[in-house]
Amino acid sequence: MSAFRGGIALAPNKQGLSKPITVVPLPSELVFNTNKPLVNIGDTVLAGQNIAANTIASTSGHISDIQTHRSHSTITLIPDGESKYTPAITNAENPIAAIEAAGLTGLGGAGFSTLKKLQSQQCAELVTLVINAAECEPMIACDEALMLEHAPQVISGINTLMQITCCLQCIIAIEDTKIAAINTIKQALVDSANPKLQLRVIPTRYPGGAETVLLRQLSGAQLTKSQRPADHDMLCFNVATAYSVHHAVANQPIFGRVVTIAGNATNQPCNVSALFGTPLTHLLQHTNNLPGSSTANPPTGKMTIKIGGPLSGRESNASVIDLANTAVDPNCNAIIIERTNQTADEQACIRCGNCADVCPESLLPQQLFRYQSNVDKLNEYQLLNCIECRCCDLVCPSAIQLTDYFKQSKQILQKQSQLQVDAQLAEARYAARETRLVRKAREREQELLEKKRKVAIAPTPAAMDIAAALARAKAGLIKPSDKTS
Amino acid sequence: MLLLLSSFIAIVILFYCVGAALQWLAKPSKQGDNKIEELIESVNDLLPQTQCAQCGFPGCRPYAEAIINKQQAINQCPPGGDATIKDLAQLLGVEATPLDNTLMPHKAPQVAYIQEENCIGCVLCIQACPVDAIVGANRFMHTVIASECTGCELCLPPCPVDCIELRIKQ
Repeated sequence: MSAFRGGIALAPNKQGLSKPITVVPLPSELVFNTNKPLVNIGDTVLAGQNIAANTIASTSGHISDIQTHRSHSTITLIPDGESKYTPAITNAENPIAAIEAAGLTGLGGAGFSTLKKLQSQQCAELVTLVINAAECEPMIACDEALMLEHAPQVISGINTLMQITCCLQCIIAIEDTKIAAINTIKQALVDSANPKLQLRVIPTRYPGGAETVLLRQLSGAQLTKSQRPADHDMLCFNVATAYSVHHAVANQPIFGRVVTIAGNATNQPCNVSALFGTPLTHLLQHTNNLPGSSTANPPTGKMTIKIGGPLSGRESNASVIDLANTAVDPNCNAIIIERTNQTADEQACIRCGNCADVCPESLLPQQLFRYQSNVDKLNEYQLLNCIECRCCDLVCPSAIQLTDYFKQSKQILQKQSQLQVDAQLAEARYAARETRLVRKAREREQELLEKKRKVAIAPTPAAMDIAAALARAKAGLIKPSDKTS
Repeated sequence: MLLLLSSFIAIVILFYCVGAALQWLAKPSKQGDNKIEELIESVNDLLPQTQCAQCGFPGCRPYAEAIINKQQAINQCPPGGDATIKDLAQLLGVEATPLDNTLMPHKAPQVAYIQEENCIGCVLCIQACPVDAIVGANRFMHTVIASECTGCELCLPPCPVDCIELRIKQ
């Protein structure tokens, strides 16, 4: 198989794989950052209960606090340690009902609802179900650790997904450097004896595991921003999602995920299994990786903590307070703690074109950088197809953090399209009002006409009296002298 | 002599044919009305749809019609500002002139906000709103549907208690 265009062959550097996955003990409180809380302070909740839009309580307990901030709310849950499931979970009879009751979210990074994805393609008989086990980003090893330890459960989850979607075949894509994981999956495939399932080994090249890039490697399909894999007769799930599906269908869903803790400023790189809502301070304390707790490494250089991978992750300030309010969520696949001694200063773009060579989406980053606030040009150069893999940042000789600029530019585009949507709405409402005003004016006119006509046809008694009086006056029956007498 | 005459005739016929062809090409096409409609539509698409009537026309579409049909100047739209003038100039192939300074100045997008404790429920602002973005009834408090308000300021003059203010759109 040939590698895809662009990308960079980065050293895998999977530090945490030497040890098995450890389970983080239940913290004293769980925090959930969400939008619209559906519970009140003091409520008792069960594991699997919706506590907010798109957020599920990962264990049973009671709500001790709800803080409302400007952009979000923080719900604090005190676990009771019993982890009681909702009745919907224990009573679920078929796989779809079980997945619905467990409120599964994809663990690949986009955070899309697994139920919605499955419902839209239920028995759709698409050609290929793709299981993304590539995990192309350096340091992250949560999926690899999962496959090493729980391959039979992963395969069972994949079989369930195949039953629900009725896909004709299933491709499990793994990078060629993950030899141990390839072997365990191979063994599990032999044991499951399902001929539709096949393993596909892909080259180790970042970002080969990004959905659009992976599908292009496997089938040559070119996904644009507005397309879903189903438009190319494919469906894509992360390998960790398959593992969650296995447990959900067994009526024992896990509301957590495996998280990699790695980076050069960690004491013990490892993979841990943590419940959603586990505060990052608890996670790091338990694994002896909390920044500042170590005496072995004297702190030098600037420390950054990234939630997500070293490249695609989002940065978080290294203060302990911030970490206490940030929690494990379905998209949190890794915590990378790094110290960098020097950061190169950004210099002017010399238009070398290195960024265009490594862009896996065949974009022209130098042009996108040049026209960073020009809406027409940004659309022309297809900014929205950028997957923010940061390959261009890595190769830039001027140390320009191109992806940061692209994120800003994407906001400009979003604002612009919002303006257009607003304008269309305003135009429609204006037109509706105009037609209503015209209609009302016409109705009023009609009403007046109708009234006049009625008066003409059937005069009221008063009108008849007046008419009679006028007639008498005309005939001379009433004389001016009569009035005075 | 015959050669001279025939070549003369040939040239006359040739010129006549070319002239006729050019004349036929120069004729306005039969779909002229359609084209004007399309042009009005694309001008309307560039306007911000604030429906504020600050240009002197009752709404954005009437202004678009006036630009095409009555050669109205393109620098009469304060909410659109210089960006809209530039787009219009590009579309119509005319010069981009600065915003007419006899009109209101260009402002950042804004939304109307009713100070509800002061509202007396007179419905005058509801009647003035060009996009039906205010809800309320006689003697009941009114409020603005912020997502549908265009910030046109048309509700300000009719309010008898001056309880409407404009805020910067978030």
